[in-house]
Amino acid sequence: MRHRRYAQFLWAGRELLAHPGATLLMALSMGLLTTMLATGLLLSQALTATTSRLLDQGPDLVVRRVTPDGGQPISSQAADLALKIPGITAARPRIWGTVPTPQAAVTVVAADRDALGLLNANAAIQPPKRGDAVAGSGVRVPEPDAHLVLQGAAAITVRVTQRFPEETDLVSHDLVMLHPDDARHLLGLAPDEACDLALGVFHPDEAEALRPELARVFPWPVHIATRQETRKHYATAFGRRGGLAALLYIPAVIALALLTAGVIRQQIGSRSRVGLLKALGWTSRDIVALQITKAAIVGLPAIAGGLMLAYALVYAPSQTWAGMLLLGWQETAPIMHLDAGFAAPVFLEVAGILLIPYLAAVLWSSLLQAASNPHDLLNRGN
Amino acid sequence: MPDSPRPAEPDRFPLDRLVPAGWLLGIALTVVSLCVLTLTYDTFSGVFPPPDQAAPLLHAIGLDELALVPSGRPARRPVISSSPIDWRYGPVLPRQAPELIPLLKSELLATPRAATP
Repeated sequence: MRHRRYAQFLWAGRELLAHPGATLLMALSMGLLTTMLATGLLLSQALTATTSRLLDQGPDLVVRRVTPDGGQPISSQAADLALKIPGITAARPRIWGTVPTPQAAVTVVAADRDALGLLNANAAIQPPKRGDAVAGSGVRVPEPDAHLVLQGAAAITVRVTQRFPEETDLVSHDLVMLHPDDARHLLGLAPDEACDLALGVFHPDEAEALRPELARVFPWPVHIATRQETRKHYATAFGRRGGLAALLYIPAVIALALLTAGVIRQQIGSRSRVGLLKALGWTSRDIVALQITKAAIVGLPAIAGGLMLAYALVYAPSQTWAGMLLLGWQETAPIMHLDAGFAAPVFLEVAGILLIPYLAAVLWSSLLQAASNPHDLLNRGN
Repeated sequence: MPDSPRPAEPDRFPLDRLVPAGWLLGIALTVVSLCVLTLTYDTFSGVFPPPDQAAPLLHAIGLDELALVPSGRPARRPVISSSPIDWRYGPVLPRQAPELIPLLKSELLATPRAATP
């Protein structure tokens, strides 16, 4: 029995090699389709997982003063108001914004000396002095003097003295960290003003329940965003893109199934040949099993290879193509170090999407040929 | 003395024309095995574990947005971007959508009474 199965595998391989061109093209088309489908889904899943993990380190709540014209600065004393609410454990006025440079817009943030002191040695950043800046790897400055012109409410020129590590690109790619006085001057803030308030809560699940109390404690209307909302926005955006990409490939999967059916019929050959095999003692089961084996020899490695290629494209270190192609970066893009912890379900999903129509096409074509009467097949010929 | 004929080997197949087929099977098996091994290793320990420097930096700078999209694009700030759609269902309502209970308590929707002498 073992030899019989081994012989069947070998015979299937031999038949495949009788049509090497068709076999190679079938494998390549399946592999490429797998890569394209899996890359979209893996990227969507990886971005969602990575943003979720990173946002866990961000503030639980962000309070922003709003008016009909948009956001307004808050006074630094607003932090004291927030801390009166039970459950709020930390309140941090933030000074940050988006400002243009001659090259591209950058996000500016004021350095927090205490928070930077908590960074470990690998990511150690010295708080910038007045006139200095720490810039991400995507912020381009002229080489000799490394001066960066920022044009906010006032234009200032700073010297880039440090760079954020490339490993932090997902956070810092186009970020410029300034001394708080420089940042206030740039953004047009008074000495005791901040852009908004970042809050930490004792229990993250309480954040949503604290919103009404927070809205009441401030003397002006506020917009409150929770971390959960931010996370949901990212997940929705990436999930929608991944789902649309998968939908786009469904016609390609159907086309592949039809093509497979055609190739199998062609490879089985004329009806008289099937009749001859059956007359020689092959059962219908043998003929179908041979075709399934041939399909598996081509399909399984093609899908496995396609999945591995997609995996390497998405998760390999120093991957920047996703930012360039999908997220709007042009001359430079952040290096995406993505979480690859949940690739297995996507692998299984993609393998299922491709294998089921492929094997169904093979089975249907084989059954049509194998179920015929050998006498009729031999007599009627083609 | 002539060599005696080799004993028959009924359990062996004539593999001379099937050797390339054996190679094909070997390649296919290798690719599938590599994929399964990668998947298994990834599930338990991660093939390309991400460096853990970005999360502490995000905590240190206190922002709640990532540099996935270039600065200045609306998608960079998914939550606090002002929507181009005015969601108010009445033009006299405040710009921020009010909560239901404070709205019912407000004088804005109070039932008008007849003037009393």
